[in-house]
Amino acid sequence: MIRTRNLRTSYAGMEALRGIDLDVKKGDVYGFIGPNGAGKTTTIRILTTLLEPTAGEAWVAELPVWESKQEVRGLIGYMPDSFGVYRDMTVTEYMHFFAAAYGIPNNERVSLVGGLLELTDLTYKEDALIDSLSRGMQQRLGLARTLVHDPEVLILDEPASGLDPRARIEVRGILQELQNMGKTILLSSHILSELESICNRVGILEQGTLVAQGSISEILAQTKKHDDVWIRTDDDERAATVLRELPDVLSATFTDGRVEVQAKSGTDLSLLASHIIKRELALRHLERREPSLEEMFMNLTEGLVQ
Amino acid sequence: MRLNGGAVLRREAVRTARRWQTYVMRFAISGLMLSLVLSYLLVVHIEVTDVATLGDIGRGLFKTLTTGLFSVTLVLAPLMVASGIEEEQEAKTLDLLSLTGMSASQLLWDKVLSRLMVLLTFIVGSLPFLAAATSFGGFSVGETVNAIVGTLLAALVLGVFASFVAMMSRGGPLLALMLCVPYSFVLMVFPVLYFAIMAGEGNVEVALALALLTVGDPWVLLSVLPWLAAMFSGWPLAVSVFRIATSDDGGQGFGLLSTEFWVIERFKRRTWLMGLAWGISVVPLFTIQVLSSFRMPQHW
Repeated sequence: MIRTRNLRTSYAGMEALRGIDLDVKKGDVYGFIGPNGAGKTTTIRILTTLLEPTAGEAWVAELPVWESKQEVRGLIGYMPDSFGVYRDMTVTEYMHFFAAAYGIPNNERVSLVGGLLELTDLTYKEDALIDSLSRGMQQRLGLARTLVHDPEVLILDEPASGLDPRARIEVRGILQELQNMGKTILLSSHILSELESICNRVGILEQGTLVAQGSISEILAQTKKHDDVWIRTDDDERAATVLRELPDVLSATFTDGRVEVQAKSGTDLSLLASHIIKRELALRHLERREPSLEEMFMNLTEGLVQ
Repeated sequence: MRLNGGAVLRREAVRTARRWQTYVMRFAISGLMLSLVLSYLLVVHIEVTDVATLGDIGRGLFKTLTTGLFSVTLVLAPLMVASGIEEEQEAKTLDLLSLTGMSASQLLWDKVLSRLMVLLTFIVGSLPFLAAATSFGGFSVGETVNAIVGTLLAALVLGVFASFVAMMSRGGPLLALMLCVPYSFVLMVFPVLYFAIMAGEGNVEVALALALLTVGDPWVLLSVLPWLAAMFSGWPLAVSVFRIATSDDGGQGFGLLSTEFWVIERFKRRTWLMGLAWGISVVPLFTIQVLSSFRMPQHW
């Protein structure tokens, strides 16, 4: 649904994007991750026809973005990192204005706006001035606006930025609903735990380069250097010493009331368990720990900013 | 066919009516008009001896009010339009609007017209004062319409100009205002200079006519390139202050106070030159504005 090949952009001689090859499939919720200045917003602005790349190509629904600007604009709903709202308008006026701007006939607007406000749970605020809405509500209104022309693709730049936990959960709920409606969603975020719970695919960007792309499990497989195992026994300090005897164990340390073991990838856990039991230690807990998206991100990136 | 034309205009109408600044501005302009009327009456001190002197008072008041109104418009029009565009840029709504398929020129026209609507309400607010001046006599309703239309035309041209400036740059309102400085120079400084020079040579009557010829002329403004016009004419850049200022019969608005042959000839020549300058400079500008295909900031 969204594809880029060797996408490059430079600002004042500095390369903001260094050959990005992005692949977002239809129905994906694609998380775009990267530190500030990595090039996320630049990529998004190119995909939304707002910025011309220096080199490379981009397609949305097989349409070349820059050559078919108007068609692409009709296919995408874009929410920038700032809300993009007129604070002295009411919620309904705002929605009706964008419906009119998108050329939606007058007789269809009332039901359309009503439906979108219901979807984003803003019906009870329809006559409120936007200025009086909380940040979370304004963000939901921004989401409702992106849906006015029923786009196939939603491109959301930091949709959860600056929201409190409740508002984040609300936005997440709407995104899940949109995913169920078959929309393809590309969203960038710094809040990796949020992306982990809603994205089926992610792309990790650093210094204008896409360092990894795929499902979380695929990226995990690419980046995994060892298995992390947490073990608790009746004597953890001794257990750490005992485990270090095994050739597959790279390290074993007693930390925070447990033994944290780094073993070679694919190590059989029963081997660790039997070794502990043989040494007459009572095994209480044994768990292979999958790294979180956050840990994956930290492994893949060096925290470099352009 | 897309039905999005005028969406921004309608939205701006709603928002403008909701802003307290609109009402403060109206109040301020009405206050200005009132102070102009009072100042004129206090400064001029004409002794009313017959109906003709009443007419002189009316005409003086009319000139003061229309020139005042025109000067205010000269500053407000570019400021208001440019700040309207800048407001969209700052709220980052310009990107969102461009994605709706709305063309740059649609947005610009809507913005310009919406701000002109506000200016029109200011002008309407000044009508009671003009009506009061009418009771003295000395000028006609046609002249009033002429002055108001001239002011609105000037606002339109400056507004379009300012919208370009704001669209193409950051700090639009300031830049737009700075670009109006040459106009202010033409409209204010030149007349004073010429008045001083001519009066110094003892020809007060001609000097006065020249001053009146140059103050606040909308046709000079419409030429957009006043310096080019200056090169052509070699005289103060003006045809008339809404033409009525030079009228001696109080009705037609096309006569000259001076009966000097050379003044009349130069007046005629300049009228043509101004028309030509206006055509050369303004028509392409408006054509460009109408064509949405011209290259605006990248994404348009």
